[in-house]
Amino acid sequence: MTYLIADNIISSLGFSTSENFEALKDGRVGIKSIHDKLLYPEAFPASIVDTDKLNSSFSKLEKNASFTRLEKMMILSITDTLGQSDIDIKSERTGIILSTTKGNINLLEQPNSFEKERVLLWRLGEIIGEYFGNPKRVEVLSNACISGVVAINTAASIIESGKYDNVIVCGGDIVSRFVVSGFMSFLSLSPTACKPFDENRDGLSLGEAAGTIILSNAPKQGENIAWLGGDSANDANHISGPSRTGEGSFIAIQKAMKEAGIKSSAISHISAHGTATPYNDEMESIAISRHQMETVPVNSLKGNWGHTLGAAGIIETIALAEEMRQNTLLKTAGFSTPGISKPLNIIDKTQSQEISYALKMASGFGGSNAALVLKNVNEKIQKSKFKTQNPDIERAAPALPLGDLPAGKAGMSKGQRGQITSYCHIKNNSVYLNGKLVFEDEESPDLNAFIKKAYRHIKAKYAKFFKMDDISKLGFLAAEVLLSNQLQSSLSEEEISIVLSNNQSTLVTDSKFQKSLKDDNFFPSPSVFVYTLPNIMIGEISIRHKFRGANAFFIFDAFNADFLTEYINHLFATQKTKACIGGWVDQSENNYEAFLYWVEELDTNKTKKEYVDRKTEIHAASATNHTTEKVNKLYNSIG
Amino acid sequence: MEELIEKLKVQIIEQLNLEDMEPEDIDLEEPLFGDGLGLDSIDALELIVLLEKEYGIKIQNPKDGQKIFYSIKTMAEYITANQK
Repeated sequence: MTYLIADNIISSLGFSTSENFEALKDGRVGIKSIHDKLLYPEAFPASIVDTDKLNSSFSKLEKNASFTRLEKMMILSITDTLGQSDIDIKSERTGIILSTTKGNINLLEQPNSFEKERVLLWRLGEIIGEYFGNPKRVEVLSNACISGVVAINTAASIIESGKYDNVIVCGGDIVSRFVVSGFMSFLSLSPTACKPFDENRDGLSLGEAAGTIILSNAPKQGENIAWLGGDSANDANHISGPSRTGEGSFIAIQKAMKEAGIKSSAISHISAHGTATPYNDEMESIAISRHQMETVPVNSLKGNWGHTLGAAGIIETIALAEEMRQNTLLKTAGFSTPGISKPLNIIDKTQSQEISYALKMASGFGGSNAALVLKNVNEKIQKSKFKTQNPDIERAAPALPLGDLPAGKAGMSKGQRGQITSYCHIKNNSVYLNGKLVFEDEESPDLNAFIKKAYRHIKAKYAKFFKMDDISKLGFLAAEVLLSNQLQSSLSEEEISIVLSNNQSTLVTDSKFQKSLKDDNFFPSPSVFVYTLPNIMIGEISIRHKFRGANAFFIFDAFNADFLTEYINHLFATQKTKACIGGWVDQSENNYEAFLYWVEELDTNKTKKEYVDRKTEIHAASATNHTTEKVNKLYNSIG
Repeated sequence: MEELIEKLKVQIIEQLNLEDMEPEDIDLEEPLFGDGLGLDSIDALELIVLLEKEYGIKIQNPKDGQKIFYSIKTMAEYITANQK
């Protein structure tokens, strides 16, 4: 089992979990009218961290002030969390995962304040890792508004796979001109503090925050909150609007409960995403209702903190865990009269209640949805009983009989669990399928020109292709080519996942959007803004092929076969997926590269030959074991 | 009005990335959304930006968009009536 052993929240409502929780219990709202022309030409409501307090707190910790606003928030948050536990952040057995949508995006406006790379999300990971002297690479997850929940699920899966004993998950995002203008162009912001699930709700409020949770395979003394299961799913419906049937959210909840080994009747409290946009809250009410949880007390804390994007899933999970520890149901600030089609039990008054199992939900752009289940472990645990042996670790992934297949390295997720049956490269104005050239065009001057020619060449027919930004076109086209020879698959929609990565996130598109934010020519474009999240390409591929499995987008400094392979193997090991598109889709100012592969779970009843012949006869020659070494080899096979 | 209509068609094709489409392909009274040109909710938001950027017209209530952006004709009429 994985335990939540320490946490911190830095927000408009305080700089610790207890300060924030007291404020939430008092019903305080951190959303205020902001008059700052640097952020937006007109006043707008948002929940902002007090800058003086941030700087004075940080200066007590660190004399060197050359850190960005977000870095200061994250460093303060992690430092406070570490102070509550005795784990060693410098240990080889301690990992760090960051969750953010836009990181240091404000540096795009102030290009000379820090080195150019500082705006990149993997660099943010490096800065945090170096500050704390962590010897391992800090993983950065950027999957729109579900980032926080997926980061917690990822941390738990890494611990359950045995790779680390402790993982520090830190999520953060700031209120920037970039993000405010983008949501304004989407007409998504409420003119007042937002009103989740209310009949008069009229949009979200933005907020900034950093939050940190330490997850551990060893419980702390006394009562504990444990993570039992979690997963993500795609609506496969629209890149910005949530599904009208709550499909992705429904699946994510279903899979989280399956992993947790519980039924919906066991859930005694739900922390919803509850952004207070008309569509989101309605969608969530449908997903909750479809799971017969209409009577379960539900809240959203967006009315207090606003929508804190990459921090939201983290700080709202911390609050949920605190509700469980304190036997308290927090009210939904801003809510008074239900305005959803399902009769949910929205908490309108803070009250006492014991909570045994609780559900956290999240949804975001790109059609992404996520959920996790927490359990209140009531038995008081004697610390000496644990540390080394934990029988629950076995639960997630029974040893896989490998038959005549190569076993690979030892370890739960390390072994050979999948078979790559197809792969695609797009680079240097050339498209390759399984190592064979499919199309090349030396004359195209840039990605935009090349990718359109390649699209016409392969005769893909998809009206929305031309609406995508260039990096989404690249990822989309690579998936088209990758899947072009697939035989009819017997897999169901929710069994197919997509796990992608890159170096630049969406920096080229970000820069394009930033150009529309000049003081004298201020016309932020909604159709550019929506593509400033790397997981939108996952959404585009999901919509096209109706894939509704797990989603994750990681930002690495370089292609990282080791992490991707372990991640995908863990999805197989925990029975969350049967097939997955993995890979790397990157675009920088002057270059681009896509490498996607299709990996299917091993069928251990078959020999390797039978397996390949049965599934994808066409690809028999290229079928490859899904191991770090082989994934690296395929990645490097095209020079 | 003729001139405005032609200009609008070019701007819409450009702004909404309607690749492979020429101004003459857009029928004056054909619905822009739904079955017509097949535009979606993000395109509607982009049209609001287009009106403001190119014609200095700010739509106060986004719900009015449905009527204003029904077709090229309704758009042109709205611009003519509201341009300062």
